Amino acid sequence: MRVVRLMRILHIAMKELKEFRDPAMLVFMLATPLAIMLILGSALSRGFDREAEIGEIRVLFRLEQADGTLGQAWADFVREADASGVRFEAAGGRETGMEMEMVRRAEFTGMAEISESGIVYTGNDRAAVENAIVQGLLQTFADRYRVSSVLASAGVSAPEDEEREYVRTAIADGSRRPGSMDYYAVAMTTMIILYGALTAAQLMERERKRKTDLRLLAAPVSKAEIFIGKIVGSFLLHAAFTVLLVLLSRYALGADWGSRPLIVFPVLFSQILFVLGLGVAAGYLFRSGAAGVVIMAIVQIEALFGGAYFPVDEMTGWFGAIAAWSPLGLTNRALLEVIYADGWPTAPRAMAFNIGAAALCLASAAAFMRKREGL
Amino acid sequence: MHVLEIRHLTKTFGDVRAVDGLSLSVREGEIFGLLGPNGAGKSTTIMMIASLLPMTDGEIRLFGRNIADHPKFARRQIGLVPQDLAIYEEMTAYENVAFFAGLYGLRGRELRSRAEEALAFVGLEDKRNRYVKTFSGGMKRRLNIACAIAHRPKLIILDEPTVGIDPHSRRSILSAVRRLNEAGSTVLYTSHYMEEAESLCTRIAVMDHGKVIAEGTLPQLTSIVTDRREIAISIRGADRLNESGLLAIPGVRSVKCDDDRLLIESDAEVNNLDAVIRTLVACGAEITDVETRGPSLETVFLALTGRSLRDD
Repeated sequence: MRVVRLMRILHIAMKELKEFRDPAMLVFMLATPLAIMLILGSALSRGFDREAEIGEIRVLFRLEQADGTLGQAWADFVREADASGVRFEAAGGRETGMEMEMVRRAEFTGMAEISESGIVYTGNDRAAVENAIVQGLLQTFADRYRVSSVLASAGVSAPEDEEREYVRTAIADGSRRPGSMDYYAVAMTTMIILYGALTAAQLMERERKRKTDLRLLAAPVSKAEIFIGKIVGSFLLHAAFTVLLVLLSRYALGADWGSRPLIVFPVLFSQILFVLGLGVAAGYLFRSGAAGVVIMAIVQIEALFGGAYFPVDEMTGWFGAIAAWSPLGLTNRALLEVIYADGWPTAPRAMAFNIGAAALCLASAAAFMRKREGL
Repeated sequence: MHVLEIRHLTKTFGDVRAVDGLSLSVREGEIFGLLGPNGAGKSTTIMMIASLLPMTDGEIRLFGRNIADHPKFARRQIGLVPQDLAIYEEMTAYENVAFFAGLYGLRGRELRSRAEEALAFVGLEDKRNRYVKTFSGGMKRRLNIACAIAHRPKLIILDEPTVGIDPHSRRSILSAVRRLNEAGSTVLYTSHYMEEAESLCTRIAVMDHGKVIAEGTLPQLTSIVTDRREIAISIRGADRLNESGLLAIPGVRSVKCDDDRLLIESDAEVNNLDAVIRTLVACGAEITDVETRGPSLETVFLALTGRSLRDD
C-alpha cells in the first residue's frame, strides 16, 4: 500500500517536472541571474578588492627629546618604517602653522608630535587609507615603547636579539575572502531561490484555475498525496535549476563555490524547502492576487537585508540588527562560511532554520487544505 | 441492475438549497440525461456523485455501495468529464491522458496502450505528441473526454461537454458518447441543450430548482404535454417576418425565429397550418420546408415550469 502511495506521489511529482520544460523560459530563468551576477560582480569589484596600491607615505614629525631612550627608540622606529615605505621627516625649524599648511596641501600625509606623554597625530582628511597605516604604525611604536619603559623601570633588560621582541604585531590572514563575482554568485543564487516562493504560491492555485483540481480530486488519490507530490515535484525542479545555476556560475563566470559541495548543496536545498513552504502557506493564507503581492514584498525586503545587493555583515545600527535576523542572510552567511572559512558552524543552524520553518509553513498549508472542499 | 441510485439528495450553501431532496436511479448500459437550465443543480449533483462535494443530506449508492463509506471504490468506477476544460496546456495530448490514467494505478505497457486507445477513441491519435496549447477548442473538448476514459470507468459522467464548441466537434463528441455506451459504459449526461438529450439519451430526468420535476423516456416525457404541437418551417426572407401577425392566428402560443428556421408552438387541437402559411406568404417569405411534430423537451419544460430551458 505504501509503495502504491509512493508511486502515485512520484507520478504527480513527475507531472510537475513535465509541465515546466519550455526551453525559452529555462534560458531566461538561467540567463537573468547569471547576467545580474556578471553585472554586479564586474561593476562592484572595487568594493571587494583586497589589495590597494599606495605610494610612498611622507609624514612630518616633531620629537620632544631627540636624545635619551625615547629618541633612540624613535630613531630605530623611523628606520624600520622607512624600509616599509613610510618616511618620517623631522619638521626641523619649520613653523607649526607652516607644517600644518604642508599637510593640508597634501605634501605630507600628516604631522606627528612625539613626547614622553604621548603622540599627537594630525592627518590630511583626504588620505584616509594612508592615515590608517600611519596611525597603526604609531600605535605599534607607542605600545612597544611603553612596554620597554615598564620593563626598564622594573629592572628587566631589553632582549638582545630582534627575534625576541616583547611586542609583536600580527594580522589576520585575509587571503580567503570572496571577490565580487564570488559574492554575487552566492547572493544571486539564494535570491533566485527566494523568488521561487512566487511560483510556489501558485502551486495549488494553478490547478484550481485550470480546473484540473476537479480531475485530481475525482481520482482515487488522497489530498495528502496530491499535496506531497506537487511539493516533491516542485522541489526537484528548483533543485535541478539551482545545481545548473551553481555550475554555470562556477564554470562560465569563474565564481568560487569552494571545495565542499556536500555542504553547499544541502544548505541550498534546505533553502528551497523553506521557500516552497513559505510560498505554499502564503498561497493558502492570502487570496490569489494578494499572495503574490505579499511574497514580492517579503522577497524585496529579504533581498535588501539578506545581502543580495551588497554585503551586510559589517552593517551596524538598526540595519545591522534586522540583517542579523534575515533568513536569507543566515543562508548567505552559512554558504560564505562553508566556502571561505575553515569551519562551517553556521551551516547546520541555517539548515535547521530552513527545514524547521519549511515544516511549520507546510503544516499550516496542509491544515488550510484539509479545511477546504477542494485543493 | 442499478449503477447509480440517489435518494433524497440535498445540498445547501448557506440558505440556498442547490439540490433539494433529489432522487433518481441510473440503470446499467443506459445513457441517462440530466436536463435542466443553468442553476438547476445538475453540476452540484454531479460533484456529489464524484465525491468532490460533501452532501448535506441523502444517500448516493454506486453499484450498491454507499459512496460516503467507499469513496475510493466510487472514484475508481467513475470517469468524470468536467464542464470546464481540465487539462494541462503545457503538456502533450498523450502526456495528459497518461497522467490522469496513472492516477488510477495504471503503469507501464498497460498505461501506454490505454492512453493510446483513449486518444484514438476521440480521434486525436495523430495529435498525440502535440502540445495542448496548440489545439482548437473542439480538440481540447475531445481530449477532455479522453482523459476521463483511459482507465475504462464503468460510469462516465459528462457535465455539459458540448458547451461553446463548433457543430463538427459537437457531432464528434456525441458520436464518441454513443460509442462509449456501445462499448459497455453507462453514461450520465447533463446538458441544457434539449436536442442533445432527445437524440442521445435513453432516459431523461428534467431538473429545476434542485429537484427532478419529470423523469422517463422521451416519449414518456413528451406525453406529459398532450395539448401542444410544434410547426417547424424553413424560410427565406425571415427579415420580412410578421411575428405579430403569426401570434394573432388562433391557437398559436409562441413564435421563435432562428436564422431561416421558424418554430411555432400551437395548440394541438386547432388546425391553423394553412393560416400560418398564408401569413408567411403574405409578408413575402419563401417557404422551403414545413414539418409538424409533437411537443419537444423544451415544450415539456415550458409546460412544467413556465420558463424556457435556456432562460438565465
